[in-house]
Amino acid sequence: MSKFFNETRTVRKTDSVPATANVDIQDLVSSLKQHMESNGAAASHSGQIDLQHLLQPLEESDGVASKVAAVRLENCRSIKLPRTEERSFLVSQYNPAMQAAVEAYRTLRTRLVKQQTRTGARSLVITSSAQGEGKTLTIFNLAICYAKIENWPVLVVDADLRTRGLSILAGDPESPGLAEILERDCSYQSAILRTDIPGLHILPAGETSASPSELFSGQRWKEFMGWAAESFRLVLVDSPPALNLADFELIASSCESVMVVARARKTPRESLAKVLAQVDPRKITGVVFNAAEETPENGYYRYTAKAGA
Amino acid sequence: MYSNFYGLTQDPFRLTPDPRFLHLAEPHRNTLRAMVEGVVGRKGLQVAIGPIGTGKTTLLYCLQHILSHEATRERPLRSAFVVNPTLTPDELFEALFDELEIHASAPTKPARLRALHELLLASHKSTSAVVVIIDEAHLMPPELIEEVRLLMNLDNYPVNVLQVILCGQPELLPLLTKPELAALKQRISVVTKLRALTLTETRAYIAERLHVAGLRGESPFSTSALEEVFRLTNGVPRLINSICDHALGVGFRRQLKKLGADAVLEAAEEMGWEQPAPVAPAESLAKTAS
Repeated sequence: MSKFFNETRTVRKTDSVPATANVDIQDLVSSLKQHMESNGAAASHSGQIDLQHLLQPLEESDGVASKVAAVRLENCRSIKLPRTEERSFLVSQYNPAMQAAVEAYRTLRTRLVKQQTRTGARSLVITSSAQGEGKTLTIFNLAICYAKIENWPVLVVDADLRTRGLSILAGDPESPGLAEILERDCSYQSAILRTDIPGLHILPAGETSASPSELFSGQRWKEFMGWAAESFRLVLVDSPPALNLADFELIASSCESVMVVARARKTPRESLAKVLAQVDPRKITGVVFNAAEETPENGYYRYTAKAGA
Repeated sequence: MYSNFYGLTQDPFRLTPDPRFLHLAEPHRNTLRAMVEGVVGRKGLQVAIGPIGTGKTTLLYCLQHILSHEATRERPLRSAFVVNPTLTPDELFEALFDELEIHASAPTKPARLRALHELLLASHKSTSAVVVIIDEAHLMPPELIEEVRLLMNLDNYPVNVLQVILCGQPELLPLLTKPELAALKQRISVVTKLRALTLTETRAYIAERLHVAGLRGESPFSTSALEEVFRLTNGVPRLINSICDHALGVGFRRQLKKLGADAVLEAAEEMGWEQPAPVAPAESLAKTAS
């Protein structure tokens, strides 16, 4: 093709009057266009630059985050998450009937990733106005969706030391857990558990006789959250309900963002408003509207971004 | 000097343009990735902005470095890096041609344009690209920006061969909204924004850098030290690098395995920083560093 191109150019040159430099450029441009039309854009796509190869150093650099987490938790215990139970929380993988919900969790994750990139927040506490609105379910499924992203180590913390819902769902692992970290100098490595889902770590609630509010008001909680957010790319904290308990505000003070779960036809509007009014508006990431009616447009679960600010 | 004492195999806070030896903070990796994808996706004109010290120039060098790894004899990937764009249009051309290693038959504009055309044609044939990176673009006079647009007009292939990246401080964006630059503004296909780090990102950045430098045990920085670093630097990576480097030096001299806030403060005093985040001294510091 280039031969053809050269020929046309030569012919033109001999035909035309000796040109000034400017005309020559025009000439060149038009012959280029001709060349392209005959050559087609097809050629430009063959042998394209290999993006994957180019981005490799950056991806290696990304992987450092999970290496830091791995080295720091080299000797931690491992657990296998229970999956066969009737009330399995692992909606994402083992319940084909819940595909719409799976999709909703993925959408939620994608939006959070985007927001995280913008704000740089690495810790997220999830709360609701009262018990039984879907905090723990949301947190677990969200964590599983996150762990599916490569190089995105996630830690799930059960900070609901009263009901320990998340720890129970994870098979009620033995102490130590968060309570021991807050109460005495228990090493993080001995309390955090590696799960059989790669990239997903869990910190169970642990056992204590002390008042949770007292434990969370100490310096250790702040220290721990600082360490956790620096070791994991996301720390998800399951907190007790925000109303009527002092725990939540203490927990949230060391977290960078807050998400509120509301359950369709259960959470009163006023309670939701009260919870949102309690939270620092800069920290509010959004409200998860749990167990919404299924309509053709939205699935079981819907996520409304930035509801409270 | 302190590396052995802290169990490090290399200098954790040094900057090198090769991304394989450089650990960037997360927002910077994302920005760099967007820029590489922009060039490979042939987006044409990209704009990248970020406040002082957030690592724009480092990123641009990384970008050039990454791209140069792709260049082969069959497919040369030419790039030009203009560091100081306070030039006249003629000087800009001269600088570009020097960088692109184009030799015009005569130092006149038509001759130069013809030479550029030939380069674009050759690049188009070899499915390669010509990358022009202009740093500190917020300093460019509007007529020079217009000149860049005219340059891009030469490129009328279905897939953009000429890739231009304008990089500068946040003032660059309002500059581009001026009515006389409307034509250029329409051509912008990617705008990337760099920001300073948050406290946790600062902590993670320091932890990851120490890991890359060979640290396998506890971090020498205590929580209070890290908070002090953040307070003094406002999360600006360049400042984080220099204060951490100095703080480790202080810790080594005092034989401290764990640094507290006082060691960081001492390092800040050593460097003559006023509190907090000294913007002006940081700027002069960067100049001597680069």
